[in-house]
Amino acid sequence: MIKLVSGDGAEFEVEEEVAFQSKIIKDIVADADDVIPLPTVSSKVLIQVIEYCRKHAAVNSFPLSPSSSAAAAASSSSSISYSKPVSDPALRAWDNEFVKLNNSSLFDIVIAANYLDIEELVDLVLETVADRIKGKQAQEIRRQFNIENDFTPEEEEALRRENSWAFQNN
Amino acid sequence: MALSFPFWFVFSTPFIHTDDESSRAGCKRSPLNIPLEIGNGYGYMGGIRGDSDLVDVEWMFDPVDLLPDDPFGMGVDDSMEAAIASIFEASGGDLFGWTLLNLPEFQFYHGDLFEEQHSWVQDTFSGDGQPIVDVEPPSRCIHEETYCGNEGLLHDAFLYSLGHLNLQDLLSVEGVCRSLRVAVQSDHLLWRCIHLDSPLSEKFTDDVLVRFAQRSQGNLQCLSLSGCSKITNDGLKRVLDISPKLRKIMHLF
Repeated sequence: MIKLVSGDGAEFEVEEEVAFQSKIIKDIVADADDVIPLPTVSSKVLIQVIEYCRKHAAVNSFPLSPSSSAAAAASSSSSISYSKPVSDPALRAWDNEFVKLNNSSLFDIVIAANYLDIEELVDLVLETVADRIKGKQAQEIRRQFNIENDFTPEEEEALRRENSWAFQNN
Repeated sequence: MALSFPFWFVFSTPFIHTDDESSRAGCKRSPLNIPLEIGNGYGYMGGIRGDSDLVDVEWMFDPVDLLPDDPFGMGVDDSMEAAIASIFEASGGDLFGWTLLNLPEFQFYHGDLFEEQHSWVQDTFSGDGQPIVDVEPPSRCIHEETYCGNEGLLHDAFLYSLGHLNLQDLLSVEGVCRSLRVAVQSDHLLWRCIHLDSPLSEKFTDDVLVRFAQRSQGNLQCLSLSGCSKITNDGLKRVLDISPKLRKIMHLF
């Protein structure tokens, strides 16, 4: 078991295979002890990240192809490996449920996932954020992400003119 | 004939080929080149990769790579300009069809990718495995929602997700606020590959194409135009003039 300590002092004991979804934790454990302080990760976020890792560790413990375990082994060396696509439909469906969070939570998770080097989770969240942008007009994006429009009317008009070719309906 | 695939698809091509092929897989997004001039409270997100690997295996090919390297025997060792010139000749002055060039000496990406990822790991973690980057908790930027619009600060994750958007969406994002306009316009990696297809392509003019090519700051590598009836030879020449790294052009009508 590995003990993870969140920034607000909460301790979480997780199995190795769960914690090792994070390449960083894997590297740390290899040459340090089993108590890992994560000062930048709040307990709320850490709970969600552990939930993700637990699910993926369970699925990955039955690798669909030999390459996945080979990739995991290779990741500790200097070679670069890319996260494989999530091919299991059930896991993908679970992922889709997992990211049904508000934007703030998603952003917190992606910060933590990047810090912990969990590539699949980073990709999953960034894809999700992108999906929330896709197909929307500027005004809708502002509303979705609570962004203030700080353009002056002149700037806005100039930008509209510049991109008018794309938004006009011929 | 038209190939239908989303913009980011050309934009991010995971390496799944053999070593030999991976050197030409092209257009993979850099893991850490998003400029951080946009104000943010924590500059450690450099490790985030803006590509998307969460795709089906059959999506993991750059369709451009599936095309033959040198279908018209133009000589892949020629310079880009010479190759284009040969197309002009063969088509009697009109650029017709498509060309795909993979110069053997050209390495799209893998060199600097490795260096960048490696250096990021080294920058972020010291030898004993302890993080040496002191990360501020994102307290000043996380309010009820995602972002503190009052200070004009954007969340990093939002910026990194831009790499997953197509051209039309990037244009919308550009119009959201000043920070995003700067982010979209100045991040040359977003413009390293330009893929256009319907319906935007029909409205695409030479001037617009050149403007987007300029945003890549000379780093434009792939140009895929599908149904861009308003693009002229002159426009393509202007793009070539400012894009020394351009190695792939696909022009479909």
